[in-house]
Amino acid sequence: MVSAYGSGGEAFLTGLRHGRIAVRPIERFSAVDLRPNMVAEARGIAEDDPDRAGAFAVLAAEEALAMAGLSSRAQIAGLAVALGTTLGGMGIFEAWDAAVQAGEPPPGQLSQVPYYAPAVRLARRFGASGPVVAPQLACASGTAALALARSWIRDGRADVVLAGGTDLLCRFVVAGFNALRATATSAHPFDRDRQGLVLGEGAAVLVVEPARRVLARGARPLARLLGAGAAADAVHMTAPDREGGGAARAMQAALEDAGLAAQEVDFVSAHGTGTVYNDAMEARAIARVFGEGRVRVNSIKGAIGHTLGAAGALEAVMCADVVAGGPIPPTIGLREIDPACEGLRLVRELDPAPVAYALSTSSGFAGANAALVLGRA
Amino acid sequence: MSLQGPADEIVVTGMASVAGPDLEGALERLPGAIRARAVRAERVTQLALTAADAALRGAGITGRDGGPDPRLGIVLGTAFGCLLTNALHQRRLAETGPGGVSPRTFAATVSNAATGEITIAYGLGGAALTVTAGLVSGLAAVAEGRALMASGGLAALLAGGADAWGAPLARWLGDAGLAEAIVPGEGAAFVVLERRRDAVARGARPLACLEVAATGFEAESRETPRLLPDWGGQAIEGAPVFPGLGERALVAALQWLASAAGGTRCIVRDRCPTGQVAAVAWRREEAG
Repeated sequence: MVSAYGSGGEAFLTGLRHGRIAVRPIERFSAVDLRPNMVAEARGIAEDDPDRAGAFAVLAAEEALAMAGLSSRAQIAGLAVALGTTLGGMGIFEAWDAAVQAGEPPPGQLSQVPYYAPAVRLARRFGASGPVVAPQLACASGTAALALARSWIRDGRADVVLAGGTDLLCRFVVAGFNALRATATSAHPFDRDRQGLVLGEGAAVLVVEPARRVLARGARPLARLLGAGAAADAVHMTAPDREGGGAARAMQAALEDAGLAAQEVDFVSAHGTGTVYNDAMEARAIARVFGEGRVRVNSIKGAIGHTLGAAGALEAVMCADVVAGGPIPPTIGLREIDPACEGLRLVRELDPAPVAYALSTSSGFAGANAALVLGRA
Repeated sequence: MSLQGPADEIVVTGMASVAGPDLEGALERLPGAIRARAVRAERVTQLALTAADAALRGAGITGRDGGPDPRLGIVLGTAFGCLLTNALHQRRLAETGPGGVSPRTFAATVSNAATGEITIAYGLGGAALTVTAGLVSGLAAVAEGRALMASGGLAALLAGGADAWGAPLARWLGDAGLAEAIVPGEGAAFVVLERRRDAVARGARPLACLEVAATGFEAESRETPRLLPDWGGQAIEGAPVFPGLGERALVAALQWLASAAGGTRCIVRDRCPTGQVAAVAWRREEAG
């Protein structure tokens, strides 16, 4: 995986456990007229690649396949790709538009359409023959990708799936979120003085396959992907349902798919962007599904920013680590809990207590919501 | 009405398409409140909303009555989604700087904007997915919609595709070397999917059965996409095959299903120049 902590899952988990905040002023592109200009960049990674979001995904997929012990094309026959992105192709788009306006030749790597370029890049790089789809649920895209992977494996439509999300920062993205007045110089999820989100970039790819396949080759599953659910707010294009109706329905659908009662879940990875309305909505939704103050909850966006379509996949990696015995990382940026969020049992220090089942929830523009349930392998 | 097939079969109870030249008239036919939303939306959303409205009305599903209905869902496929809106946002940013950027335009730069508008207009509170799989996105949406319906939890689901045409897209495709692979055009098409027993129970008439839907990837170009591995033992002999692009392939199927052409089955299949392939097999229901 790729995050503002650098390349690799170990850097990601270590950074979260140490509570390191990776938010800095923008360096990679001109930001003199962008306010706020504080983001979590994945510096020094694929800097010269025109399809940087695709390059992030390739790095993440290579790491995931190596971890799974899948080193040859024969081992990944029947491969499918579900790679979500919100605006990951906009780096290519910006470069193309600049060339057009300048009357210069278009950049070399325009052979794909921005929305699915990273997914097709993975498919070609690793020899996919199964479904290759870019789910587009805005900031819930990475979570939706893992939901698709679960569906394809369950229905026998693929033997192994590279599933996750990727997104990158560019002027197109930062200026847009700034125009929405959704951004801040630092993110404080569920805090009473939170001002908004901080954008980030990165990618996470997980290898999803039937447990029997993993065991047959002598490998060890890291976690079980037990359930997935999705639901629409059906209320507003940019603002969340104030009551968290869609988020609650997605979480309930994921629990039903997993065959679990809410009381069996020990930990919820919240979307937790640090915006006023998202966090209040989520607090209501989580309390409605799990009861007030019962389940442990965190958000990692105060540390690595909101990585948009990649966020759900990064958070799924954290959940997989947690159910495998890792500690729950703290909610970085939380100082004083908002009274509107008091129904949440927020993790504020590294929490080593074991977790058998974790739920990860994501929400996005256009009222998109998706959730996953992961369990100990 | 009696069951004419397995109760769990996924059937089509409504279907509609809107082509670009017919959009203005289709917008006029939208109910007032939805038309008011649609006229402010970007073109791909207008196409999707008008086709969705006609498909839902054909199925006898009239839209929201109270809060969002968690039993209703949608899967929309789009190849170029909001590229026209992306271009508009990018031009404003380049020409006026961040201060000139419109928050409303930026909010519509995500590919799921059309899906979101449809969920709001009709109160679809269940699963709402947008998928991009190149020029087979519409067929891929039908495949994912069929899987969602088969997994239970939803009573009905809109599945289909939408894309809009414009100068920035034409320029992009030319620069990407894809222009020759794509005939310019735009439109949207949707089917309403239900389980046969649910459709019959509410008195809706199944128009067709969605027998098989599959997607895959072929890195190397082939003139005709192969039948897919998970086509299984259900190969359909003698059925007409409609190759096509995106929602156009879906439109071809819908036109055939609505026609009096011979035979009871058809297959729609296609391959995107970037490698994605999809195939969907339909069986026309006998009238009465």
